[in-house]
Amino acid sequence: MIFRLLLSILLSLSTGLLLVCLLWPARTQFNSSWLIKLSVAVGLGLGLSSEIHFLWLWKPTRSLGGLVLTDLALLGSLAGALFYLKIRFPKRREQKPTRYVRAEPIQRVPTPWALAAAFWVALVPAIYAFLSSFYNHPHGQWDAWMAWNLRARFFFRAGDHWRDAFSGLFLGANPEYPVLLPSTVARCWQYAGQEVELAPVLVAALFTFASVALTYSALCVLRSKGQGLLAGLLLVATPFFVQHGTSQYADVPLGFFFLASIVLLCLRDRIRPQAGGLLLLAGMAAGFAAWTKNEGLLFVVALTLVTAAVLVAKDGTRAYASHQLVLTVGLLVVLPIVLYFKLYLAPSDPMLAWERSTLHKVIEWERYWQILKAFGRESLRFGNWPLEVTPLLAFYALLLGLSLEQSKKRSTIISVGTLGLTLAGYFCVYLITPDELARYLHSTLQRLVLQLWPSAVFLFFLLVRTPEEALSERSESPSGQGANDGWHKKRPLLDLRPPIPR
Amino acid sequence: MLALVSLTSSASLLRDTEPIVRGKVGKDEITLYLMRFEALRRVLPAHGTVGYETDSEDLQRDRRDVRRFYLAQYALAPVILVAGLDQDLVIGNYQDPGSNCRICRSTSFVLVADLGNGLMLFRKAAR
Repeated sequence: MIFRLLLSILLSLSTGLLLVCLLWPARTQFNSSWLIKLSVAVGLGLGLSSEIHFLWLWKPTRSLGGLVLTDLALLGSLAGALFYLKIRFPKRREQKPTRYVRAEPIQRVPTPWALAAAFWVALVPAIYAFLSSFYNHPHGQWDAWMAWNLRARFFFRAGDHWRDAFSGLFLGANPEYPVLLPSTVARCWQYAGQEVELAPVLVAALFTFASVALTYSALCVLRSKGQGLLAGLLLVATPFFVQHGTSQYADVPLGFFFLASIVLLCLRDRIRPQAGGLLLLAGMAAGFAAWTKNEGLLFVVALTLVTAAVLVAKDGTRAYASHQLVLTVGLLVVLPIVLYFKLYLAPSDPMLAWERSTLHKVIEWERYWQILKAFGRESLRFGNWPLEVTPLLAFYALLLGLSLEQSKKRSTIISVGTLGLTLAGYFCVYLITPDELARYLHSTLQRLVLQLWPSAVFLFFLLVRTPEEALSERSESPSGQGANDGWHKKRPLLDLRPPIPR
Repeated sequence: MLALVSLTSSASLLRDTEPIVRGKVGKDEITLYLMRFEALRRVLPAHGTVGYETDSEDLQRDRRDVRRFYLAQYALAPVILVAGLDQDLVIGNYQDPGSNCRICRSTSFVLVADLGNGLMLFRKAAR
């Protein structure tokens, strides 16, 4: 039983890994890129498997053999395509040099060992939290059994009546939400032959730790190892991120897909213009976000709008069109099924039920103020940290300064803009919600911020200068003060050190 | 500084995490609650909609009743539970069936099975 469950997960991960390897641009063999590929593969593999399982449910005669054969056929096709490419273009994949360009190639100062040790030490409580959740709360927290695992049970138990999972009778259990998570769990159960409680716990753990691994490995490549370690440490030490990861809700998987989409866009920016594969993968990740939760659809809209605004303004319509075309191909792997689900299966979304009172809410200025106050409060207190971490991060950014080179990159602007627009979308949802606003803010805002948290951490450490940069500047001068021109240019916004002798 | 704060936070996460006690495995509150419904599952149809009655008349009034309702739904899936007596089959799920079983006093329903622990199944009486 456990073996068959692990086999189902292994098949998903292998499919994801082969897909990522197939679309990964050549000549970017990097030590850390294996971890990036593996982390991205976790999400895309599980996403693809959930899609296949969902399509399999439609078959009039369902058998486990059919599901396994379909999974194996996809895996074989991807392996065949990769093998063909290797044979057909041997040099393309063997060339060593990388085309990744670090912002500032500083590796003279070794990564502080204490930082690496802290990262590994911080992983232990997170792993223990998952073990504890498996033993003490195998069915997850409230929404897990009320909505996500409930629908997995419908898919697994109901036979031809699996569509009952979307009955409008499930008031309050969000039957209108997309089904990446329930379909993934139900697929694991199909393989195992019974409802194994380990399945949803394992899926939750994979998404949580893949988010940490992706943040760490992407920043190792894009910035420095120290920066990657610091970001990974901050993420894995965020109590709410880990606690919520164990709850088997869909917010951490959704956050993973936001992060994967943004990371792939940023990686692609470094190796332009021949990295259509990364753009395609970014589109797929955004599509899977929409297949996870309704907020994912908002993210897709935000990404499309911000990409259009930035690229048309900076590169012109032609460049934007070719960029958007590849991104859309990636989105099309997932979006048709999401749209079909929304149009023909899911009951109508209560959030979209426009009434006269909805319009009235838009002009109630007190609501704006109430939401703004809640957003402000949450941005300060987010994460269940022992102390407020946002002011600390702001101070850190002021101390080290921002990397101007990073902030000018198109991918950075698109990513920050997309997150900002998604947040603005959340604001609008609160504005028109049919629920009682204070109660709704109280019960959901922390989870919405959580969805954006891994991406926000990644972008923060992408933009802030690295500890290596700061340390190398100090080591360049015997007095501990750098004295070259570059140093002058790169001085932090708030510098507490004595003035530089001129 | 950031690393130190993160480590402190990790320590607090470890402190707040429920310990793993060997004897308690498989005996968590929800698993035990769900086991109550195993016998009922066997006598219910494979799918369809059934009514649901609990201690309070208005299910939404008490959060604990809402929780019990959704846990019952989770246990009995793919049967769909609907609060109220509008279905042919109705499940009674009570803390105190002696005082709160309103359907027991109704002549429109007959008791099909009393599964103990306040869990009952009723069928609409033939007219």
